[in-house]
Amino acid sequence: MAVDKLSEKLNAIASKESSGWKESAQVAADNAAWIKKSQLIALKVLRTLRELGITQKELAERMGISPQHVNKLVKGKENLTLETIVRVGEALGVDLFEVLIVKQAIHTQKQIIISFEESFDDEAPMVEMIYNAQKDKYASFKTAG
Amino acid sequence: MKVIRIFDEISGCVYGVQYEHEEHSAYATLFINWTDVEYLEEFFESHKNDLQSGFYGTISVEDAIMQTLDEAAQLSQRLLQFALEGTKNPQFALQTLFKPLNNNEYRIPFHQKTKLKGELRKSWLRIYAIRIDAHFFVVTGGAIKLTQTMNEREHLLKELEKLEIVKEYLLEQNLLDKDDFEYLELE
Repeated sequence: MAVDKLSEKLNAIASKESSGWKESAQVAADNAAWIKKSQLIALKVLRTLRELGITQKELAERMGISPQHVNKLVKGKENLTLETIVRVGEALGVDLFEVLIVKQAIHTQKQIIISFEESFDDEAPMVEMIYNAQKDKYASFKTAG
Repeated sequence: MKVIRIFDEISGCVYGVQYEHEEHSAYATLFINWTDVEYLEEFFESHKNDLQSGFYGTISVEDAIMQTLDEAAQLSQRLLQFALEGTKNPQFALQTLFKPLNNNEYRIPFHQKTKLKGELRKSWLRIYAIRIDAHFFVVTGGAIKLTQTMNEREHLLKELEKLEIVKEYLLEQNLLDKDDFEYLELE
């Protein structure tokens, strides 16, 4: 069966509603910079909750907001206000702005290293060594701060 | 089961199925989950042993999450780019991205089960699809694959089942003719 005929047949049984996926992909690309920061905060919040054995519901109670609001926040897709970032950090006893600076820097370096590893397999141990040295540098910066 | 055209403006090319009782198509569900920090944290925590078994080297849950978020974003853009360009330029046909599910399969049978891996050389992201033509695929689902084979974990076995269900559905919808059946028999 010719491909255009198959396409025609599949189009005939395909749902007529729009998937809207092309637009979603475009929105994600246009907002990638703040989404990355929202993801870093969500990750820190989730790992702190796990470490301290606190539920999302308990965090919501501490902050006086709804559990649904906390659940949106930990998905890393919310455009958070400065007030929210400060209040969540205070409720958990962590500085979420620090996460944005240190984690983002480490993550960017790690991405560069991954790209190197993909291109130069033999160089990987050396690159890993450079990464670890840089990571230590950021760790000392964090402690000093 | 419903068939959804993923990129509305692009005729043909990428379709996805929406299973009964599911809110989104399998394609949309993948990218919703792979960009959801809470989903990924739970997934990597519950599959920590697989993650740190050595197959992917030594990697923390945090790094695994960040890597997945980055790769998912890149993969979504790459698929969109190939879907658009592939209609004009065969070098961008989706077939250049999707590989046979079976690594030992060197020919292209009709309704071939295929997979698409993430950007990295050692990527754990997989999108599974049925190939209809070089630039014509039906996405059945996808997974984060941390083990060497698909037979070792329940969530991966489920993906194999889904591939089979969709293939049967396409057959039932009469999306084949006699010649195509001959191809299938060879498979």
